[in-house]
Amino acid sequence: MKRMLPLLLALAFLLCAACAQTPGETVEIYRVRTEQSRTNGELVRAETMEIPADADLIQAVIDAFNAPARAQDLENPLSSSAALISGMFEDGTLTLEAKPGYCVLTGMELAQANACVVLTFSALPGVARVTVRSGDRVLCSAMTPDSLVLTDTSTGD
Amino acid sequence: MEQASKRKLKNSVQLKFAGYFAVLIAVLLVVLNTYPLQSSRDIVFSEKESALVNRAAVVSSSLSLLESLTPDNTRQVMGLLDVNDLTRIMVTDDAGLVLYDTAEEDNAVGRYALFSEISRALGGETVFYSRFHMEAFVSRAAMPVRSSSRTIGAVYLCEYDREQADLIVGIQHRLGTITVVVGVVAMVLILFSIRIMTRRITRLADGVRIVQSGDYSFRLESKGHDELTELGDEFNNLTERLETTEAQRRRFVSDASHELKTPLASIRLLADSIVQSEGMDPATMREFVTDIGSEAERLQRTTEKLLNLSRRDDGVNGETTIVDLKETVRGTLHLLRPLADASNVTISCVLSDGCTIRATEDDVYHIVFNLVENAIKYNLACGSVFVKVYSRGEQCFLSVEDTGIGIPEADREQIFGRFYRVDKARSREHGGSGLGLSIVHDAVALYGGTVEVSGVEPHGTRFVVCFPRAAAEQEAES
Repeated sequence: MKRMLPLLLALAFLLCAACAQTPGETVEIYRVRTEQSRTNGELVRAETMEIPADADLIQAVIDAFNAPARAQDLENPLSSSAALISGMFEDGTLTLEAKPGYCVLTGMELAQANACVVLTFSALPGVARVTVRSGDRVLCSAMTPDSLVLTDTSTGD
Repeated sequence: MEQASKRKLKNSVQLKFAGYFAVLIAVLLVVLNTYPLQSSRDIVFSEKESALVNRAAVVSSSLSLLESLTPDNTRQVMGLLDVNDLTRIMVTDDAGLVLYDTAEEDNAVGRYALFSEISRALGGETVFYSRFHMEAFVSRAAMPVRSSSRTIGAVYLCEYDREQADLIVGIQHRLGTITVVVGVVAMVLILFSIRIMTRRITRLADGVRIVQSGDYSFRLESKGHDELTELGDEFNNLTERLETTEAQRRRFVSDASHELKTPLASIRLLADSIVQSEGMDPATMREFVTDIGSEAERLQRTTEKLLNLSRRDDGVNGETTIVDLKETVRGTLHLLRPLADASNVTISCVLSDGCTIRATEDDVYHIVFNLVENAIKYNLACGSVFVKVYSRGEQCFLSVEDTGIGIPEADREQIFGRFYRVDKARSREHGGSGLGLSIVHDAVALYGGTVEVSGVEPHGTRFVVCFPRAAAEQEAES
């Protein structure tokens, strides 16, 4: 029995490993730099988050996007009242439904939120354009990453 | 030399000095390379901020005349301004949408510029940022465009200046070259100087070792006029004194051995003669035994004087008191009267009162005894000895004058040396050991006094001993 013990323990370990969930995928979620940290350079930056591998990809990314930022110098451009709800993908265009709070965003705030949404969801396979709606209102119409300038490349930075 | 080689490198004074100076020079050179460059950059940053912000203000104030910003009206206004020398100028609306952009490559008109500077400018701030990057000064400024108390857009300026950066880099390279040259030259000079300085110290240490081994004739070569030269001169003085002292010691040992050996040899010879002569007549035997006694006495006297001198050399002295010279001289003369009578010498004295000195009674006795005994022994038949005790001011004097054979002038300097005798034969005849005047000299010097010798006409010698006077009342106080 004593000789069998190490073998039994090894088998038990392998069984546990097999039962464990498979590691999830990682996605880049774009956030906005906080007031204190935006001294110069790019305004938005991505942070890596894990999503479950077996979940619906779009919904998983939406959930990750709605989650608070992890880094101390980043923040979610959308408040809970402007969070994304769901998404529908068709012919290369991903249409996202947002809460009514998204309609309140204007000027640079709106531009920042749209930029983070477009950059995040454009990285998903097959997504060429992103549209954001809230009810009947279109808040971001078929935007692509090409409509954004993140850094000033004229100086070689 | 072996000890020097055994010294570990890390303990070497040369290495320590070199290390200290190297650190000091390194610190200075780092400061030289850092501070001027940093100051220059700070000046440039300050100038750039002033220039760029002013230009942004000009653009912003020009655009603020418009009610709202569109690509067309923005282009028209910008066309009137002289801003072509800047790397990039961008004008956005209040959402960050680029309305005007001077960039030829990757022009951003119609796109959203998500720059922190623009975001802060749209928030109402005047922003400036500059850094020295990749051998160029990259400066950015942003300012809001306000019309009717509301922000309608933002101006963004960017400058990429290589000229000023090249200037700074050139200065940096030149400073670097100077640093290397100065550093190398300084270290060479320092090492050279340290070697010279420590070489002299090493020579001194070698000299100490040589003298320590017994060679007192060694002298250091005296060069220069600094502290090390002074140290070297003092070392030479010290070794000279050591050499003299050693010579004196050897002479003293040699003389002492001879003085002790001579009476012992006589005693041995006389004793052997008695033992080996059978039937010696009693008179002869008595004569031999008397001679043995005389030699034994001489041996005893010599030994006592040697002991006295040795104790003095070791610094062993009795407790001093106030001694009345007059009384001590009187007592000593009384003891020497038989000798004087036997030698047919007359002793006369004039002893004054109040001549008190601080000394031991024994030492004063020995001084008087030795001087007066010599005056009697080296006198002529029917000669005289004059002893005077007197005071003058704060000093007391003892004068012993005789009408004897005198001391040649050439010998007067040396008569206080140990075992020195002017006439060895006569001295031995009188039982002299050559130590009496040494004892007088050393004893007088011990109490701060002096002894001088001079000739007397027509023949004779005068010894004058001078002591510092001590008041009799001091005895009561002490």
